[in-house]
Amino acid sequence: MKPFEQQTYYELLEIPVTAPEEEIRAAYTRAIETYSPDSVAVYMLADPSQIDALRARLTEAMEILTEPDLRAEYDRMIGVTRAESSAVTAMGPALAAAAQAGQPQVPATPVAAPAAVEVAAAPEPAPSQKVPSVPAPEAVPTAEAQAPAAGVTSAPAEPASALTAAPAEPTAAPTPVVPTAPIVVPGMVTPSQIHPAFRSYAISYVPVLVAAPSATGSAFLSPFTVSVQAGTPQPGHEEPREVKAPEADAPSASSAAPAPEVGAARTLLPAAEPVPPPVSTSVSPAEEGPRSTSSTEPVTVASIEPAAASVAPAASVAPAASSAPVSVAVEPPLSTPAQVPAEPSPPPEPAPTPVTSEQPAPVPAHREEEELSGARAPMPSRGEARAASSEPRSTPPGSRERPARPYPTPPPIPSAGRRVQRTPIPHPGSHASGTGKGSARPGPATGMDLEEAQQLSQESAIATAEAALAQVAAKAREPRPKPVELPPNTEFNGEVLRQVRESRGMSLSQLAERTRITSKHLENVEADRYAALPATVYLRGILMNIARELGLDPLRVSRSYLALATGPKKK
Amino acid sequence: MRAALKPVPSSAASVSPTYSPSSGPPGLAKRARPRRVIAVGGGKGGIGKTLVSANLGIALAQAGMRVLLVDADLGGANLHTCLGVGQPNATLSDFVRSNKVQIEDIIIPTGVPQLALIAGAQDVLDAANLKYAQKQKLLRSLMAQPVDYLLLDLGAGTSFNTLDFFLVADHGVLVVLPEPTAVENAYRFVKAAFFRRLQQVEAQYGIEELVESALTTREGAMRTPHDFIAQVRQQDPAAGTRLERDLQSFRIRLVVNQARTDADMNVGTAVVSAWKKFFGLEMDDLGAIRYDDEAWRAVRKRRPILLERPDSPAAQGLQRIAGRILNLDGHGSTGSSTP
Repeated sequence: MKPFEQQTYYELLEIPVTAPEEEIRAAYTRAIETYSPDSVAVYMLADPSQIDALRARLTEAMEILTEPDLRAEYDRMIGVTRAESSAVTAMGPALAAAAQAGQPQVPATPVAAPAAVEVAAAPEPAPSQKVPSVPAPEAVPTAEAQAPAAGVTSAPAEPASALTAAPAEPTAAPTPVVPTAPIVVPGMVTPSQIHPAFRSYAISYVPVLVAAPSATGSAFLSPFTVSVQAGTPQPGHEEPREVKAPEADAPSASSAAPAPEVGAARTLLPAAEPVPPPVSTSVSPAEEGPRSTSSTEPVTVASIEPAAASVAPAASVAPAASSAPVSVAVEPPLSTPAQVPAEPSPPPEPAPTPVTSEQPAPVPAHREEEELSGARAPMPSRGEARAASSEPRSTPPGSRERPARPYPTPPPIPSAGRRVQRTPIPHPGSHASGTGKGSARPGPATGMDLEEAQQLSQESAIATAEAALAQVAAKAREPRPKPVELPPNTEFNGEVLRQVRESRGMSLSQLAERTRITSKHLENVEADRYAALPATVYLRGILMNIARELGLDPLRVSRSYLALATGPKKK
Repeated sequence: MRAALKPVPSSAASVSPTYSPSSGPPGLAKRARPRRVIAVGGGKGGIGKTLVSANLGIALAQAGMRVLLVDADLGGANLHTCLGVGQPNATLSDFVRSNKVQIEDIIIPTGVPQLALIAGAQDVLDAANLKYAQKQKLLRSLMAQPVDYLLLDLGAGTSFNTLDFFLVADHGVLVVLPEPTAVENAYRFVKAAFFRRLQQVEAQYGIEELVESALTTREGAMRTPHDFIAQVRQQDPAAGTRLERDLQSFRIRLVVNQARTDADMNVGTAVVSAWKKFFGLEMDDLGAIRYDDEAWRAVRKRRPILLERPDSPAAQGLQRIAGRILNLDGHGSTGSSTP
């Protein structure tokens, strides 16, 4: 008994762990039908947003489980997740690294962030992995370096390899410092890398999904499924500043991140492939750290993220530079001979797309954000965060500007309805109380009087309707004049109404026009010719309209006037 | 389900197929009681609760069980009509109204061997608003009946009386049509029943406030068992686990009625799955009943379809459902009667 957010893919699809692929697909089809928005089975059972989230997860489950390698990893990971602590210890360094990556927020680790990204991307179908050596910002390298050391080897990306990203802008000339071309065996997966990746999924799921349910779901998986290597040649640059990465908040951000990247990866893919881009690494302006990016996932998919790629030196935005995202797939176990000793960054959890390209910093580095941006589009804020994270290396944390997420502004406060209308503020002086019993009350009785309270209860039924009416009317008409100040128990006879009208500078015909009451009636009302007035029901409506138009409390006016009008007759 | 209402749920009572005299409260241990109580509800009106009850009763009786059908649709009793019994001489209202009338006095034969009926109130104006004491008396008397199956046909709506009858059952059968209105009401009904059930144990776990809000507010109604368990667990992990186990025994049996298409036939599976995903509880899909003009004709003739057209798709669906219930109770396909 656990919420679907916490269910394993198998539980989600309601299939045994041993289910063959066809069964998984069948279960998926069934589930998607069951949870389609117009499915009768979920009608009124859950929030539409919850259902969207569920569907996103289902898609993710299907995509991962139908990819044998990923599934194998996932299977392993399920165990891992269950005993997280043990897993952590076991995995040691790798995990730690992942953790770091996961929390890109730390400014210091800008590098890390990118690394993480790369890692995520990691799955490379392509046999060869390239490790671009990139001068990394120093700070980063250190942090990461350690991590990598632990267990992850990063494979230098080779330009030649399928993965290459063809940067549109050659200019940037990615200089792969160490282009070692370790060939990665496709089949190899580094568990340690994958796990973190998966874990991040598991952990991040919920938030991510919620944010961008549908988009995410597929996006996530995509990297895995897609076997394309992503070369990310992307024209887009990002300004260095854009890199927001640092902020990426840990869990959620990280989780989110993968998705966007993936999307990017996909998009990029096509383009990338054809061109064997040199491995370009974006150079971090500041220093060049050689960095190797490691991509963890082996095989299955080589999604490269361009985005990760270049970081522009802070200020300058060089569009050109960016192209060189190199995707590196690193395998921990590594066979790769040439690993960059330096700083293979351990892959951070975000498993998705790995590509990091670093370029020697020729100048401004660009990121190819476009891809990212495109990918992220669905989930704006997250995406950005993600992107940022990847880029961070170059950018100093502090400098980044992050677009703040838009927060919904609170709705305007509804204007007070009837209360306002009905409280005429009694001012002692204002109106001559000549009319009646009521002499002005001494105090400024702002609130309702007791009498009024009583009335309130009596009126409640009418009041509701009337309030609604009044509101509608208020909208439709011009703003009402400020209420005249009358003593609280003024008796509203025709004379008082006339005075109020005149004090408003309104002629009888104007009033007639606005209230749509014939002036004959209005005259009769003001002249207190009760006998000439229509039946009470109608009279009440007339009075209320007049009062409303005059800025008086309709209920009080009608009650008061009707008392006068009907009283004599009875007698 | 009933067992779970008690502080210490004895799951054996609801699971074990064999009659165990020791189950139930001590005072009742020696007394006769129905081996299984089935309540048929559904929230919405006109979805075939009565038809399902009547025919299920017949199917169980045909399988050799002694069945007592009770028309607990206090405001709109018509189970007798479905069975073709005609205007009954004695009804529930007689029993509720007078202390002299014993429950046995109002049990009438149906013409089907082993199947007896207690007809619903026909006349009493406020029979639908059974008072608490009356309800308890009724339940007590019904529970003392020495039959294999006590089958309660509930009314529409989610009044407490209806929910309480539903909760007392071992098998709460939820009838639903494959259409949004019925599904909506069904979910509302089940949730109401669930929260009502929680109300009975809330004091034990200190979740009164949560339950209160679930019953009275819109946001509260969106709560799921997870919320309650999490809340309890926060204070007392052991109690949380206990509550979880307790709540898991809240297990609805679903019947989809009037399925017109093959897709409709699968709505049950979908509902079971959705219920588990979003509400976290299990539900059993007992199967679907085909939309069948024969069923309608049978009602017009005031004859149960199971007797009128036993080979019709609807009748076969009903038989399957009865078979599953027997299976759940461990009777398998062989209907042996009670010891």
